[in-house]
Amino acid sequence: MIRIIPIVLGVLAVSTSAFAQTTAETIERALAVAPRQMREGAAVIKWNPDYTYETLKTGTNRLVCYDRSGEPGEQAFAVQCTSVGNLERVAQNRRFEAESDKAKRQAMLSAAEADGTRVKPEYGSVWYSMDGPDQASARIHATIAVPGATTQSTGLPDNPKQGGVWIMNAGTTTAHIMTPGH
Amino acid sequence: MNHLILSLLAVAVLSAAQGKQTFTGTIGDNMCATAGHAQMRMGPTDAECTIACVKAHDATYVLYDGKNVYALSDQQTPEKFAAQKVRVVGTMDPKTKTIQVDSITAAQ
Repeated sequence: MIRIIPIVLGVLAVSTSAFAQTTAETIERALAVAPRQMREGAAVIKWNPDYTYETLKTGTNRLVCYDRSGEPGEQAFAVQCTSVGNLERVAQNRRFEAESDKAKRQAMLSAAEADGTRVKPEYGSVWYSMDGPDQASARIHATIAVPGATTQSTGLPDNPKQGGVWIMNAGTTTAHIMTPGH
Repeated sequence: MNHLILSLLAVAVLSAAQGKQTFTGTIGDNMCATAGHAQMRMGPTDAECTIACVKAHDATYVLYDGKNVYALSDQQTPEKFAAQKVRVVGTMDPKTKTIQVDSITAAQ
């Protein structure tokens, strides 16, 4: 039996290392959704469980990317980039997403929206997301944050019926422009 | 002999892990599997919102069990169960969290 323990530990160590990701690999994954010409200058961060983050790669432009693959509520491959000005919003999103009960989470979001504590994203900032079972089959979704925007303030519809770009969640801090097909 | 028994046990455990499982959760779309659809204006109901996300914005149907989001190999059947609680029987690849779907039925 004593001889078996090192073998089992060895197998476990090999299995663990097979799934472990180096910092370089994490950076490369996180940048997968960054626009090609912005990739080199983008920062890459890693979120901590307490909603703070560590910088894995310093950026020279205003784009910041992070890997959220396999986190609760995320697919096996899930990466996102947005403006550095939106990190406070992302941290707050993660706090809400930690609540697994959908009804409770929605109530918390609505309460924050109503009492003015919901952090606004930068108006006009872009959110690039790439989600799927793996990188090869993941789909890219890009939206433009327009917090507070309405049909009256922008002239854009607040539903997709016309077939063009439209504002989702109009009139809230979550308002964002959606593009058909993306 | 002990080595042989342990090896056989390990193979049995691994084989069982690869077998069919039943997953219970809600059919949603991969763009907002965990989000509420009430304010999105994609449609009057969560179901229509989910279907619109797939048809108009290139999302895919997924299963959300309250914690995990699973990709589904079958992208046709989920439409009629959009935003509903379902039972999915299939084989799950833990690396891609993809369920090779055998069947999808409404859950109570």
